[in-house]
Amino acid sequence: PRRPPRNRSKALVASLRLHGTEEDCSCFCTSEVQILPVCSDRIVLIMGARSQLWSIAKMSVTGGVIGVTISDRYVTVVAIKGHSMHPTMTATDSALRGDIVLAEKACLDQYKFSRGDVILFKCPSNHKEVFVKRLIGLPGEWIQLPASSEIIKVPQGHCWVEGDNAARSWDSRSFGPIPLGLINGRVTHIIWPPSKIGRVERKWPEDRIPPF
Amino acid sequence: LMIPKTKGKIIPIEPSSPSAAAMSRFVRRLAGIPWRQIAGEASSVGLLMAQGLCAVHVVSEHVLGVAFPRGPSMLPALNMAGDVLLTDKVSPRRGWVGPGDVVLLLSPEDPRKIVAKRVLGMEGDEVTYPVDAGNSDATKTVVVPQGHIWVQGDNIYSSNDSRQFGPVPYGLVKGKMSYRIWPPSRIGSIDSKE
Repeated sequence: PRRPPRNRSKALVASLRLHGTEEDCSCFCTSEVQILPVCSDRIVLIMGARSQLWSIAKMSVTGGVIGVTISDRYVTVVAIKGHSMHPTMTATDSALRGDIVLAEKACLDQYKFSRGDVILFKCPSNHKEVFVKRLIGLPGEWIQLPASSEIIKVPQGHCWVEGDNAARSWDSRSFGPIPLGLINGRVTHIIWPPSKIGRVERKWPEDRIPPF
Repeated sequence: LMIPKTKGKIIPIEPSSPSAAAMSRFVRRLAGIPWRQIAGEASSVGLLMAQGLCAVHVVSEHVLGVAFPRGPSMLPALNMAGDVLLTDKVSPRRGWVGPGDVVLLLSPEDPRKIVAKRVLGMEGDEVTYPVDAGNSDATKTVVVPQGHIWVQGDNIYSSNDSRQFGPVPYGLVKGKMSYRIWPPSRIGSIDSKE
């Protein structure tokens, strides 16, 4: 005997239309639809639609689960909302016209970053907000604060972040070094607007003494 | 099998030696295996396995996970090793964490380490802690800054916690633990009085 086809309901409707007699109706019994001896095409059509909805629901749940996994472990898409990284990344008041970037999560396996990376991280004073800034100081490095001539050491397990737009950036100059555990990902590409599509390069701010 | 055509007539090649005969039998057998069907079934099984792994990831990261804490810093509530705890991942995201809860967090000294400690103070709370437990009775009082929490191990004589690395941002909290499911003699709430 042939194996029953995947989409049983469709095959059921097709074969019932073909035979159309009561004797043939009683032959078809599946786990989804139990055909009583008295059946009509209309009832089978309704049951076919319900199982269509069920398969659409199953596909969306599966797609959602796979999407969440990919977004958690590999790559995610983020819309920029602040002005602290201008002109590398800009935001506008309307969500549709702000820059959209791609961020990779593979770096969260070993937490190995390089100076100049652009990273996403949770704000240390509000865990619900996510910031995007450039990594200036790695753990254990001595860096010079831009305004004063102070030299500070970035503690182990922490990093110093600053935005490209120094005037409008609330960053480590205000809230100090942040623990690496707050980092959510590393920005690799800009994917919107089309004029700015391309890699986000590792950049060191000009006239800034490199750390030692 | 390669069969050369000569002027419309097809002449099968006769194997010229026993090893060539074995070779042609082998090749015939290879061609008889239903590769396409096997590839189709393998890819559908692979897809099912990928969906299963994704579901496991989503549940253990966002709903309910399992933790195997080790170390002496949370004695006597948690054993030094061998405990299996249920980790609630929903509560930290919604902010349902308060003083007295045992939480899992990424260590501020090394983000690859996950540590289990008890929350003693939320933002704005005043926390009084022993500076040098075991050697002196001196204590200090701090106010926990906004967005941060103060965590301390139950075993203050052997715990590396906020007394050493200061208050930690709430964003480092990854899960809340309240139930133990192993060993069987201690199944139940972590803080039950036996």
